[in-house]
Amino acid sequence: MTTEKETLNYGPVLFHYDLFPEKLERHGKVKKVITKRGTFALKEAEMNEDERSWFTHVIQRLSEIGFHQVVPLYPTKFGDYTVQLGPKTYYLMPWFASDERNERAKDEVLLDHIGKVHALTIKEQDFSNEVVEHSYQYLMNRWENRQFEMERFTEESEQKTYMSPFELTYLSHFHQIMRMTEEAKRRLKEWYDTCQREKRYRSVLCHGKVSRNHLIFNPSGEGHLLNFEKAVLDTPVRDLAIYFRRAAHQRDWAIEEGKLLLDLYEKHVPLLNEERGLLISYLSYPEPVFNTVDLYCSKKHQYSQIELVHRLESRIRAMKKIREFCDAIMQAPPPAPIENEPNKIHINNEEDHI
Amino acid sequence: MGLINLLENEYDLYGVRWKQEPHIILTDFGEKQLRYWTDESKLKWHVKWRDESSKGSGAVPDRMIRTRDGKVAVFDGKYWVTLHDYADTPFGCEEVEKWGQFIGQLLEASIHKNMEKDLRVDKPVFDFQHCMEVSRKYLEGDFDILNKSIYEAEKRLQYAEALKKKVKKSVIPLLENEISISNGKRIFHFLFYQGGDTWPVKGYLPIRNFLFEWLKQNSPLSLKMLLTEIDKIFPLNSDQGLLLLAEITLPWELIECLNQLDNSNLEKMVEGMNKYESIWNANRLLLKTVTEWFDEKRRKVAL
Repeated sequence: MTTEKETLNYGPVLFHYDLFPEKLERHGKVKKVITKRGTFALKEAEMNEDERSWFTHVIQRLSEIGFHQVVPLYPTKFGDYTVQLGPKTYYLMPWFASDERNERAKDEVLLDHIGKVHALTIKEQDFSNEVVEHSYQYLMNRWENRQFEMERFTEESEQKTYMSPFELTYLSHFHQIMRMTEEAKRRLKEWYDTCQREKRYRSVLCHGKVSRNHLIFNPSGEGHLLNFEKAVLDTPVRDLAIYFRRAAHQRDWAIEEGKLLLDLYEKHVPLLNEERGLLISYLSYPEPVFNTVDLYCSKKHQYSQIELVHRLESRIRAMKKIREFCDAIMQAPPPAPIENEPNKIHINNEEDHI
Repeated sequence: MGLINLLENEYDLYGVRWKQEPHIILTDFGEKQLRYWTDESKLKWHVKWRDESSKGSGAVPDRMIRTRDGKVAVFDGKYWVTLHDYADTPFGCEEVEKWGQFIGQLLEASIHKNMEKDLRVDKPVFDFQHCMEVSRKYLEGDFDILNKSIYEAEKRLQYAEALKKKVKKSVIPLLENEISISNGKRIFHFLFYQGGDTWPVKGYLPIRNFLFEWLKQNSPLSLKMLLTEIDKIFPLNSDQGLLLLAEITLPWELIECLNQLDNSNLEKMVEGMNKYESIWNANRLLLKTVTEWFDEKRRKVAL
């Protein structure tokens, strides 16, 4: 619930839609706006001018190429799709009440929709050695730097007479974590070599923040994607890695379920061998574990040791599940593509590339 | 089909009726203002400056409300008609920051967005010779203020020309002819600026007039605060600052002062001279305050 003052604060934004709120409810970064003209969802985001115009372009283009399972944006009375006020950007959508009956099917619908978006926008890029080289070097350097930071943390911990519980837990898994790091780097190198050899790579429109929270069901039960703020043209593996890494952290997530979901996705876009290898590379890199170490180093006074140890153990458990999932998807043959594969349409105009 | 029906259809409005024919209507979305245009290039310019200056500013100009098809205007057979929001509560001058942001954004848009294409642009020119001719008939009276001001005006003219010469190649802003505090209205707590429909003017004269109006209603300190706020959005330390200073240095007020004079009898002449002195001094204060602000800014940079 919000106060009258807060209602007034959103007045300048809602003025662009000629809406006067009777009530505002806070749902994270989204405000539920109740007015005489209906109920709306107002999203607050941080985007610069280029990001705003790309975001609007993506939403419009998805509709043009026949993907309608996106929560639409309402234009302002001045014909804009976003409102900028100070450093914040706002956009307005219809409000869809959450329907718990569909919660269980959410992951399937999500992967199915992502598959459709990728299939509609997939494009074999003209091979550019510069792009591939830059992508490879950038990621490899970043990973090696992170690895070096973690090795330094390990050395510092080992020199202590009395290690903290967090440090002890980390050290007991250190070799396993480093093995995963090396595996990720090896797979990345393989992808790079294959690209150089085959002179090919594919790009799609990636959602950029694939998550169960970014799928909602309309009143007739049809799933709609939202939050394309981080959408980007990139390898299809980007969205998959984001999704599976997040999913593996859920306590009840099972490898079988992950395989079924990947199969569902591959009915729209069967992955090439090098893409499968790249997915394994992305997933294997233990960034979530490293992030927990960062958190320990920077904010150890804000959390108790037990909280940090639990967090670290949970991340390590998830990485083990990911490891098993990677083994399973490496062995599995890709499923046959669906018969009526949609026409490939690009998100940009024909002459546009990455 | 009448205009009201046309508006209802094109803008998806209901129950539209006149509040003040032919400019203000009442709709189910509140009061709206209508503007009528005969020249398409002028209309396009007014659409563009309103759209561009709304970006990133806490203030909102009265942009053209789009039709259901996304058009900026409807044609009623004689005029292009545009629909705007309307408000009548004055914004006042207390929130200097919001005015500064708006003027800064307005200037930013006026020099960075190619707005001049195929457009009739007025460029006001200060005519000192004409002032001298007008003043000649009053000089016999040997009024001290008249002699001093004409001497000072000539010096200021030379100084303004010297400032302009320092600027090599710089885009000159294209602005609405009249930018006024009275056009600032309040909706919620933001500044809603109701623009006009005149041909645009090239140069800083509208800003000079606005700053003068500001100083008439506020203190020199407030004017300096306003300049500081403008400077945050639209830096005045470069050529644009010199052009603004040159415009303020030009003795535009001289002709206004001279027009106050009436030598048909002594009483009217004295009354005219008093007004003359008052206008002249008010403009001197503007020049002094703005010059001080530039000096203070330069000193801060030097430190």
